[in-house]
Amino acid sequence: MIELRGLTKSFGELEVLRGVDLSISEGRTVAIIGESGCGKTVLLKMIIGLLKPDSGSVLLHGQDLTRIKYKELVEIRKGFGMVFQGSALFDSLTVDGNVGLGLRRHTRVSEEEIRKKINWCLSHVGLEGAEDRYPAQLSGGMKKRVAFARAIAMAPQFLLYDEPTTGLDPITAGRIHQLIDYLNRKLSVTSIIVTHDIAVVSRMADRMAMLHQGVIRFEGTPEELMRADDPVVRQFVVSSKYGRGEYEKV
Amino acid sequence: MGGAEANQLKGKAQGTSGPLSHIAMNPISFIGKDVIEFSFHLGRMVKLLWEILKAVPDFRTYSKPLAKQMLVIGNRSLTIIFFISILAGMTVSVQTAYNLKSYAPLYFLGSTMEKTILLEFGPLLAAFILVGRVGATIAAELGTMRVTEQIDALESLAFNPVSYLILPRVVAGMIMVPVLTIFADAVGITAGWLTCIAKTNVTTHQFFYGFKSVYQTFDLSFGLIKAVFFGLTITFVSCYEGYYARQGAEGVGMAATNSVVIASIIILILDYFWASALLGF
Repeated sequence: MIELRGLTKSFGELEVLRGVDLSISEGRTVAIIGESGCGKTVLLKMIIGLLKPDSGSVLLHGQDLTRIKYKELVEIRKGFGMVFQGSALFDSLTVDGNVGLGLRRHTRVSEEEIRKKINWCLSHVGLEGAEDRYPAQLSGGMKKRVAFARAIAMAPQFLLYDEPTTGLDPITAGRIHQLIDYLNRKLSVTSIIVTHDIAVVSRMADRMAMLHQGVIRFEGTPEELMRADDPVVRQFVVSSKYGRGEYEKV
Repeated sequence: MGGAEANQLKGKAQGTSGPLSHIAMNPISFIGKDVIEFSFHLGRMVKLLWEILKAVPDFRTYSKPLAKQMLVIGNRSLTIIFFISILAGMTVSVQTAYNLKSYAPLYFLGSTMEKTILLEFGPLLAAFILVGRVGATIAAELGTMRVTEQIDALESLAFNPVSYLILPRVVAGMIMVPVLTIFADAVGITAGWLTCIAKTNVTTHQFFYGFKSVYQTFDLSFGLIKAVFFGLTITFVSCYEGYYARQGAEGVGMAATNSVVIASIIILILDYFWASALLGF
């Protein structure tokens, strides 16, 4: 279980998080929604220890990740997989190198076993045979899928997705969402998806949390989100469904 | 808030337009706010240096990248060092011949070439070529990795980026700059010798008589000690600039420029320091 308690973070005078409290149960898929620039990525990076909060704690099975030694944090990260917004593939490595990087460093299995595992990961994202390509030779959607394969290669318990479909065409975005849903069911992992695409994410998430002005404004099931009375939540939901202009007419 | 945006905010929050940029561009920056900024960078540099030292036992992580970096530094620089050393050797020999012709025997040409190239030209020439050739590339590579979240991705895969990215580059620099210095010394002296026998009345025998009469192993060691520190400076400064680069493409460009300017200044300071410390003046 991941528990976020009173997380605050400022960048200079800009206060991004002002006391975030959120609990994420194991095996669940939680979507964190909110406007662009509201601090969703900052929150996600805090969960994996890439950013330190100014105050508050990130508890993983009761252990505060903000107060442990760097070596311990590195060990804990082996249980996490993260898909970055821009894919963040290593330019100088092939698809094989990207997906197998963690396996080659952190496991002591044979190269043959590693290759099998890489092929298994790539087959799950529909990219068999792309092992020798470099990121520069891949389309945006393919890069994203390689990032998924890299994230699942170490068989993580937790998968973090940062805006997994931003910048993709609707068809590719749909495929990516299917892939997330498939991986969540197939691998039984705890998933945290940061997105502003409510329509699709509400079909796969068990819980939804809305981040607004540095705090969690809403937390509940997707059905509860759709029925929420809070005007801010309501506006976000309806705007996402119809577009801002349509909402004004509504 | 996107990842790159978060990185950008982090950069702005630190109140910097790029690591050490003010110091590199404007000496007046040692006043007021910039003194604080300088202290901030100095503290962060010391911290990074400490992180590098702590990562030394993690050989399994950096052994492969180290071999690759040594190859990259050597390959990238060998040809240019070869040509520049030839030109430098030829120029030094002609100018020395001009200086000596009226008041010293010409076999002194060999002596002067030995001292000039082994003590100063070889290490300094190799260092300055590598600052532009390797330092800027390292800063741009790491800077790009930072702004495209590749360093974050590496950390999310349970890698220590200092062990995997910085340490191999620094160690490769400390090994390869001395190696390239020996190469520059050899090429420079050979070019100087050939120019002497072609352009002056000095014979090969006289040239090497002069060379051997003043040669000390210390001369070569002195150049190599400097080269180790030049290698450390070039790679460490460029890694620092790239690793902490912010603000997209502009930040990457600034990191590359700063790494060249700052490393060049430090190399000249070190050059004087070691001359003063080891030559006894």
